[in-house]
Amino acid sequence: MKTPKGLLLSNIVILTTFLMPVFYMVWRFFTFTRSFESFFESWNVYGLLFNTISMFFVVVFSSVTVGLLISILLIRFEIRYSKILFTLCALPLVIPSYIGALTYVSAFSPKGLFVQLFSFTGISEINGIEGFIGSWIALTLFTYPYVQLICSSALRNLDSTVEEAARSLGTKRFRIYTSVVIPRLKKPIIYSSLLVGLYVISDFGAVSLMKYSTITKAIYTYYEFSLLGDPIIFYSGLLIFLALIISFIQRGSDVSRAAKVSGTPRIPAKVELSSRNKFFVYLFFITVIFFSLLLPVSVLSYWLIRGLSVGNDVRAVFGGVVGSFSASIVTSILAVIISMPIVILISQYRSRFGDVLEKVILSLYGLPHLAVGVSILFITIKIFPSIYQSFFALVISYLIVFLPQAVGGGQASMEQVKASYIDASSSLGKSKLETFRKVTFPLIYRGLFAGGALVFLSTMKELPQTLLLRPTGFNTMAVDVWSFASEGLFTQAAFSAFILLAISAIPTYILSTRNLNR
Amino acid sequence: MNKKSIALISVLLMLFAACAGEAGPQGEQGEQGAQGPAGEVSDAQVAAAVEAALAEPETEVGGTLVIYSGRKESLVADVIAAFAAETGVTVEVRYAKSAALAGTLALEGAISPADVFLSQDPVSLGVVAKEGLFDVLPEDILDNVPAWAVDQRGYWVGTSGRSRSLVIDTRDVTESELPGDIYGLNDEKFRGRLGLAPSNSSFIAMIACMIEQDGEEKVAEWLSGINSLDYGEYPKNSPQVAAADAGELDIGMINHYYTLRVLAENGDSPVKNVYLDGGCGAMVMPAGAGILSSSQNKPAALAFIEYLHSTSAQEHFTNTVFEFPLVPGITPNALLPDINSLNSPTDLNWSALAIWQEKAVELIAGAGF
Repeated sequence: MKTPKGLLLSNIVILTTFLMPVFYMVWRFFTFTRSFESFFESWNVYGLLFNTISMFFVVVFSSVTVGLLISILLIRFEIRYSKILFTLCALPLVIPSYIGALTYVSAFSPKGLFVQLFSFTGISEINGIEGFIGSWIALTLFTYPYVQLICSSALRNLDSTVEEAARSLGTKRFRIYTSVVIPRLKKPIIYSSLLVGLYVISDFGAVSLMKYSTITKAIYTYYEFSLLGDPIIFYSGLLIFLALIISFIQRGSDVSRAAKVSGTPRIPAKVELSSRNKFFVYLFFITVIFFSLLLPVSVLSYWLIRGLSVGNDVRAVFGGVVGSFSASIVTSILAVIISMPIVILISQYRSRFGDVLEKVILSLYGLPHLAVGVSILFITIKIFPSIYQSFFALVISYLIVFLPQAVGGGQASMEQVKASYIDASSSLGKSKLETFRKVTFPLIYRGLFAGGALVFLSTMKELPQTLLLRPTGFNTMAVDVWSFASEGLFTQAAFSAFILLAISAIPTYILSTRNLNR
Repeated sequence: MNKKSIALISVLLMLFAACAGEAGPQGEQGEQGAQGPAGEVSDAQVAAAVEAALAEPETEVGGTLVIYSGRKESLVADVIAAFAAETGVTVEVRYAKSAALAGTLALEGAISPADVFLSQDPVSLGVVAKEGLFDVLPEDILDNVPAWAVDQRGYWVGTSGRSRSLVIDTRDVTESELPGDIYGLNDEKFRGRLGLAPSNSSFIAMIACMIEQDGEEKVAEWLSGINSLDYGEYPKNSPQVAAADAGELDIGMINHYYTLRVLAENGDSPVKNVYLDGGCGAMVMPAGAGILSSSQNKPAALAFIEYLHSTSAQEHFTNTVFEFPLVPGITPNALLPDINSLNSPTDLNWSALAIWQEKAVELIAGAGF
């Protein structure tokens, strides 16, 4: 089918608008007044790159280890309550890294909550958790669920005949996993590693709270230092470049079909564990759930209850709640509307442009929010001053990074709209609009709604772009968490964080597991 | 007196002035009005009008005022709210770090939505002045405060004073082990005991002062020395005082008033301010404000800066924030040391420090903070 001109045009407009931050960075890179070498000489670039990349590797390694172990144990072994354990292990997905890191920083500060709780044992001071170790722990705990979700769905679909053949040949169980199962899960493992890696290099909240110098932390520090010139552009551009490489590898290669493994799924009989092994397995699950879920939630609850009991002013966070909701609602509605022409083009009209569009839109998902925020900050000041510091500019900036979620939701439901339905409708003499209203829309609105809801929840948690671009006097819960925490007011910070989590946790969980499993 | 009645009276006054046929300078309209024919209004109304006109020379103040505040919300929100209530001006405030706002203003240039920049340090103000974005303030506003707290070219004016100081945890630190100047902190005996907030605007101002006074090389050496001493990094000054109070930090490099706030709440707190004997570590600097040339509401901006010099604002700064009041005749809070006993460098030129700001940041970043 030939792509209608209007559709093509609207897609080109959307694509150009949404790629603006990237174009702007490229343009700035070519117009630097100083040489590239001078950045590498005067601004500790190697150190920051080294820190960022080493964090990438250690977190990917630990997340894959934990996530894969959870998947294998729960899917291939006889474990009681495996469904509940699976859910509990995946739930940390909903905790934004800055909230997770905040609970760790405040609980394990040298004389923090942990020391107060265990003071009866004679502990009076500990070395606080921060820096490399702190960031590593925090990022691992809040990213392994991605690996868990992706790998376990692949594992469920894995044809188990090879495994059984190996077993019948007398291969030891451990060897079966290292030489049969894991190699066959290579694609989902790589796919989820890159997803985790993207998260790591873009993360701003956790590394800032942990005081670990990565590129994102440098960008924000330069912003605070008032050097809004070449260095901040240089680092933002560098970060976008890194992220695009990673997401092109992730989305571009055939790794993207990773979660689907070929072959007919045959789930082998679950293996019984010896009682000694059972003990270790349960210990493992308890440890993971304790540190990734129980600890952050209890710290937040503790601060909340303490805050309420000493009569902290609740009204202070009200503005943030209103701000979060209004921004999220507007962004999600716009995301659904804007995603429509994209979804229609991609799924109804097979074309080369559509393929490129799909890849580009999906790779926007990996763009580091902070760098996009910096780019929009410059673009609005230098090119579109009339929307500078406006709600509109903030929403555009959210849309750039969250649109892929709406496109994903729409795309999934569009697959149900067969071309034959449309043909049937038009052969019955219905107009295009009527066909859309009577045939297409009823089939896709659920998917659109799910995509929109995901955008809503992501927007609510967004931090760095909001910090840079919010209109004067506009607050969100995420900004409240951040600014209270940076003043050392952990009680108030935890208060906003708790509300944010309470509102968004369950729907985020349901929606994102749906999305990742697809 | 609300905004409407002020507006009404000022219209009446202008009518009187027109009747009298002598349109004098704004500030004198009130008196002229009082001398004019008062047949249609009662004496009490005239008296009220005179009072209002004298208290508020800018009678047509109104509209919206956008303030970029580098001073924390908890320190200035009350003053701003009182100004808004008294004048009827709608005030919008953007809070961020002073240095970040200075950079934002420099980037925004003429399109800035801001009317007033309220900064916690003179260097950030100097950065904006250097870009040529401030209007020169009227003489009478500049004369409200001592000459040391005013930009030499009149682009901004001080609103309160603060001193750099060290906060110590007296349980772990004795004053005798502390050096006389900031360079003495670069010493093995302070390993793991120092705290600082490298992105804090006042800290950057101190570094700029050190570059100006002692040269780049010495400062770079000091910074990398401190960086190798296992320092504690804090996002701001106040958490350093909290950490010292909790026994987590021995010595923090801060501005003096955070410690006094803690002491005012809890007299038994083990924290104490130590003011160094000289050099930039003992610098006394003004927090201040300037009006952006691009401002769309200069009357309100001017009224706001005047309000910051009013007795109630100055008393708020000294009694609630524990800063040095700058307007003569205001009694400093009893917790404050005598400002004349501090050993700040006396030959500081604020606009010269602003030139070093970028270098200061570069050195701080380059040293690995």
